[in-house]
Amino acid sequence: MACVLTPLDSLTAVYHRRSGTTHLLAEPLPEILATLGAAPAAIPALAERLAMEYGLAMNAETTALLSQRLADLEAIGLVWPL
Amino acid sequence: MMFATTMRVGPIGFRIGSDWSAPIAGLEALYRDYQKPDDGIPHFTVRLEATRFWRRFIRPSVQIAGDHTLPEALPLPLAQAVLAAEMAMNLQMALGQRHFLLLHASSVERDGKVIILTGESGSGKSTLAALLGEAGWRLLGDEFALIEPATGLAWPFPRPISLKNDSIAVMEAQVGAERFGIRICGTPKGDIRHLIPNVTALKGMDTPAQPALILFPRFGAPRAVRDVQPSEVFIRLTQASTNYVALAEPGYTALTRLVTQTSARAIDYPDTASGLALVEQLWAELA
Repeated sequence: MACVLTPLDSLTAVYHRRSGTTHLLAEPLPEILATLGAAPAAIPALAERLAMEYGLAMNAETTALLSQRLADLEAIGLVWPL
Repeated sequence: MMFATTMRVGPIGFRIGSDWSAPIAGLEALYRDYQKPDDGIPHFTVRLEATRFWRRFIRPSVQIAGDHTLPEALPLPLAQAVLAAEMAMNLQMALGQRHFLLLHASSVERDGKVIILTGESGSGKSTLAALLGEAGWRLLGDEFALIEPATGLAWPFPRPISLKNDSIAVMEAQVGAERFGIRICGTPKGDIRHLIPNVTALKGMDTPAQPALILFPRFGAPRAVRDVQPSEVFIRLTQASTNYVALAEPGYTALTRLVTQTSARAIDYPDTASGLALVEQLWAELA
């Protein structure tokens, strides 16, 4: 795994091995990261996998939220577009 | 160096060199009951140097040098050379320690379990640890807690306790004069007097123990206790660590394990007596 995730409380500690940086993330960022860590995915497929694993509702609102949260993760260098 | 001595504090060996004999004599008095570095090989070297050759003799002032230094460190008068040595030893640990996760914290042990007290200068962590060390606890250290990444154990680093200002009289009332260094007046931190840890602390300096409670003390406020959530403990301890980033993943592993397996409380206390009572109360609740 590129990242080590350690749930603390409402926040999860994330250690990014390549850069050696530590992040504290609130949900659903750790869940997104863990899901993408298993295999890269586009937003619709990601939403589907999150729906299966975490019971996330599948609708336009979810897609918009995922898009925003992926932008957050991209900004801190933990995900990137393929 | 013209004069030198060595000592081992817990698992860490130091070599101290000096342009003058007096600081070495002062250190050898403070460290008279300590072991020497294992196999004679210290981890760190500190040098107390004259700022200029003639400054060995005329208004002598001590410049700190060694394996790790800060460029802006100001020299201290020769009368404060023991303090300069202590600051330099701390600096080696803060900048150079690679084997342990270093927390700026005091720590004490009882029944094989450790309380880590961490906070800003003036929070009372040193004084509380010094008092607990005389009240049935084993003092592990007043300045640094050393967390071993492989085991999560807290290792002792019981250097002489650097008592400041009001805490000097508090401890003078408890402990015989033979365990004190000289009073160093007018330092940048006020008056300082070193207290040599007791036999229990010195004999136990090779025995680590499991952390069980993390406290964030604050002296001078009305009595209060607050649970501290693991994520806040994590953030505060990364701030209290000088080498968390340098240790990379072993540091992350050590810190997340410590934070997820150890209870934490923030305690406010108006005076040392109530601080001690609070620590004992929280310890009893933990059992």
